[in-house]
Formats: sequence, C-alpha cells, structure tokens
Amino acid sequence: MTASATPKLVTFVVLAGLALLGGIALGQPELVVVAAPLVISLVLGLGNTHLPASTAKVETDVDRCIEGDVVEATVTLTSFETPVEMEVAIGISPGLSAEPTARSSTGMVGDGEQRSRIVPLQVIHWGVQSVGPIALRVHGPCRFITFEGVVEERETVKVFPVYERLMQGLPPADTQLHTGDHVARALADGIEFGTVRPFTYGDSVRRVNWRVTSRTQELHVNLAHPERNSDVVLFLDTFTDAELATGSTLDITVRGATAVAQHHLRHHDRVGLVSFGGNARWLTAAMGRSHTYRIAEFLLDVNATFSYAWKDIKLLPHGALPSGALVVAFSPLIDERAIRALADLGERGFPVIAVDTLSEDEVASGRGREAQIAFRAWKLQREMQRARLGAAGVMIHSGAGGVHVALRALSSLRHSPKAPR
Amino acid sequence: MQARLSVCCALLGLAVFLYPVSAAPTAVTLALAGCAVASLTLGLITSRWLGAGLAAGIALSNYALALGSGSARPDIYAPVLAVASWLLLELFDLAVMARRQGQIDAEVYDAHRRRLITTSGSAGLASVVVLVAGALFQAHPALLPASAIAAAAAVATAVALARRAMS
Repeated sequence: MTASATPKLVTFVVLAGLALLGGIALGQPELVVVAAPLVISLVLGLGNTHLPASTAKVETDVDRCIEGDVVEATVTLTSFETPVEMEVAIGISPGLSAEPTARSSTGMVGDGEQRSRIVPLQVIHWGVQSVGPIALRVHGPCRFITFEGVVEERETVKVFPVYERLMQGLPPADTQLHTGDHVARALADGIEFGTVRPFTYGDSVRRVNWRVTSRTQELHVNLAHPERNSDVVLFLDTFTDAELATGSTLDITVRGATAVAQHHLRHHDRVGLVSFGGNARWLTAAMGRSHTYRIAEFLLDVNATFSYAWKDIKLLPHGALPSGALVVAFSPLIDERAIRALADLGERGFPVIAVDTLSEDEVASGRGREAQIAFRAWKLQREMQRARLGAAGVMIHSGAGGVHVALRALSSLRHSPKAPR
Repeated sequence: MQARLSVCCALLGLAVFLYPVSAAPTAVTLALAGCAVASLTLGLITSRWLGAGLAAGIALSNYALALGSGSARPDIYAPVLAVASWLLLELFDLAVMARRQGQIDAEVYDAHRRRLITTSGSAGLASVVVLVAGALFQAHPALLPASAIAAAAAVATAVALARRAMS
C-alpha cells in the first residue's frame, strides 16, 4: 500500500507553523494558544498512524446470468489492526453498471473481524464480465495519512445475451438421418403423406390404403415423408466490428446467431458455429442440451480481433462444414476475406444465407461534396459485393430494421438457396 | 449528512471569522473576515482544502491584527477560539468526506464524533495552560527563546511523525 499525506495534514502543519511563528515574532501568546489544538491533533493523529494489515476479496452470487439480471457482488474486508476507517471501491466491466454511491463505501474495520458489503450490479451487456479489482483506501487516525492500494481480486460472470425467440426456423437445404422436425423429401416411414404405390413384399399391412385397394382391386400402400433433422452452420464474420446507433455489428451478429441456434437446437437440428475473423474458431455441428450450453459459451468469447493474415475456408476442418448443411452467415460485408470466404462457400455448393449486419441507413455521410461522392462510391462498392455474392449463390438479406426482422423474413422462405450450376 | 455538516461548518466559520471583528471593529478586520467567509464558502462548494486553509490563514492574520489593535490583554477567549478553529477544520474535513466518499457507515461518524469530543477536551486544556503560562511569564527574559524552541520542537515532532507514518 502507498502512503500519502492528505491536504488536511499540509493545512494543519502550515497553520500551526504560522500561528507559532506569529505568536513568537509578535509576542502574542494567544496565537500560540490557537496553534495548540492543531499541534495536539497532529501529534495524536500521526503518532497512532501505521501501515495497515488489511485484505479484501470479492465474490458474486452467480457466475452465469442473462442480460438484465442483477448480480450481487459481496466485498469482504478484513483488518488485523485496531479499527481503521476503510474506503473500498470495486472496478467493474463496461457490461455491468452500478449506482456510483454503491460502488464505493466506507466503514470501520479492525480487530481481525470481517466486514461484508453487498453491491448490486445491473447486467447490461452480454459477454464475460469481470468484477474487480478492489481499490482500498485506509485512512489513518485524524485522516492525516491515507494508505492506498489495489487488490487484484477478480470474479468473472458469464452473461448470456437476450435474444428474440424465432417462431419459425430457416428452411433446411437437405435433411439428415436423425429424427427431427423437417419433412424430408425422401419417402419412408413418417406422418406426412407422400404418395400411394402398389404393395410389394416387405411392406407393412398397416400401411395398406384400403380405399385405393378396393377401387383398383389390387393392394396399394401409403408412403410418407419422414421427419428428419437438418444441419445448420452459423458463420460469424468477426474480422471487423462497426459501431452503429442501434449497437455494434458484432452485437447484432451474436444476438442473431443465438436466436437461430436456439431455435434449431429446440427443433432437434444439428448446429455448428464458425467464428471467422482474426482468430478463427469453430464448433462442429451437434445437437442436444449440452450443445446448447457449448454454443452459449462459444458465443460469449466471440470478439473482433484485428489481423492482417489472409484466411480462407481451407483453414476450417471438414467437420466444421458438413455436407448439405445450411450456412447462415452474419457479416457486415466490410472485410474482403470474409466476403471471399462466403463466395467460396456458395461456389462449393453450400446453400448460404447471409444477413448483412451493417445497415447503410445508419451510416451518415460526411459533409462536403467529396464526402458525398465517397459515400456514394462506398454504397456502390457494397452493391457490387452483394451482386458478386449473389452470383456465387449466396442469398443476402439486409439487416436494416434489426436482425430479427431479417430472420423473420428469411424464415418465411419455402426453400433454401440453391448453388449455381 | 453532508448538508448538515456543511451548514454546521459554515455557522462555526462565521462565528470564528467574526470574533476578531467584535474584538477590534475596524474596516480592515471586517474586510478580512469577509474574505475568510468567501474562501470557506468556496471551499465548501468545491470540497477543496485550499479554500478552508486560506480561510483559516486569513482568520489567523485577522486575529493577530485584532490582538495588535485591541486593548484587553490577554484575550481570555483565545482557548475557545482555538478549539472552535480546530473544530471548524475538522468539520470541513468531515463535510468533504461525506461528499466525496460513497456510502458511509454510521459508525464512521460515531468514531469521528468520539474523537472530536476527546481531542477538543485535551486541546482546550492545553490552550488554557499555554495562555496562563504566557500571561504569567510574559515579562520573563527566557520566555521568547523557550517558546521558540518549543514551537520548533512541535513542528519538528509533527513532521517526524508524518515521515515515520508514511515510511
């Protein structure tokens, strides 16, 4: 801890010195009398001041929560000396907020006893938020000397984003083998009626269509479309993060990805994730409750990392992009590497739906003729990029009006996009 | 609590600053008292010690001026003024604390209240002793060197204690 003299000490010493000097120089004992309480206070206060032996730690009542929740951080202070006036303040991440008066408090702690304070923290943004470090300021007797120090004690709270529940998922490109909620194109056992065909050996008697059989005088059976699951891979462009009035593009990306992932996992689909940016990370497609938590944890660590390294989809392992999977991309269409990767995916035959997370309406052009021309050129360039992706078979939907508006519009599609032949 | 402490501090400041005016009612002492009041008010508003220190310094000069022009010697109210001046600075400190620090437990105020009561008692006693000693030995030739040595020792003790506490 670092000791420092307070302005009060300086004021007391200067005033006492002036009064004593003036009293002696002018021969006025009354001025010395005025100095007496100041000197006594200085001697008593400074004589009892010593380096405090104090510790502090912080704990939170939960380690995982959702945006909008209130987390209670408990700061515990211990001092092994005579009771001292201890001021404590905790540092919090930008994703947390607290009343300014609640973040710092002052109390008397001493004689080895523990004092706990509960600081309510409002969770305002998703991500891995930290509570700490703890700043301690111990005031000596009479507050002439203060000892300040920082205790590097931190607690992390994983905050999951709030997302809008989708009523309908995105149309799958192809169904897979597991049972799910999508009606497969193939004919097999199922509920959805497919067609009627003549009976062959091995057909179940329960599937005989008696009406058609009686009309044609020949055994016919019903065939159905089975309910199967599908594969969805969420492709997150994390090369750049542009701040908009309604939130950052990365924020829109994570909220959109969470909504799509949660919907498809609820409907027994396999969901994979690819964070394509400065740090490329992926999560192979899987299903089930444990995978829901895995995805939530994965999305918490998504951040935009600046990198010059050229990256393409060859970087990704085969398992990250299963064949027949619907690729749902969230991208601000700013970084050339991400645009190239999306075009590459489309050209490789993956059905790709891209949500443009950068709404051009929220980008204001600069003042002046040159700025206007530059803004129009930028818009034309983006138009060209969209056309290029469209030619590669990527369906692009603007995120203007919110990502959920875009997702609702996309979920009303009857078919996923087809790659160009 | 901050508002109450500020009001107490301002009222006590007014009493301390106007005492030299009552002892020697001249235009200069009145002007200096006004300056001290203004300085303290500024200090209370900005919560800066510079204002309070300046106000106390002006008040001290004003008192010295009033003692020089006054006739009644020694001033028997000097110990009261001394304790009141010290109390004024302590109240200012508490007002600053109440404004700058977040939540403050009631027991912190209780501890300061206890300290102020005990210290003001001993400070008042010491002031009376100094006043009586000064009045009794005013004509003694050894008073000036002895008091100079005592004053230097007091300031040196304070500085040495401060250095020891900070090391």
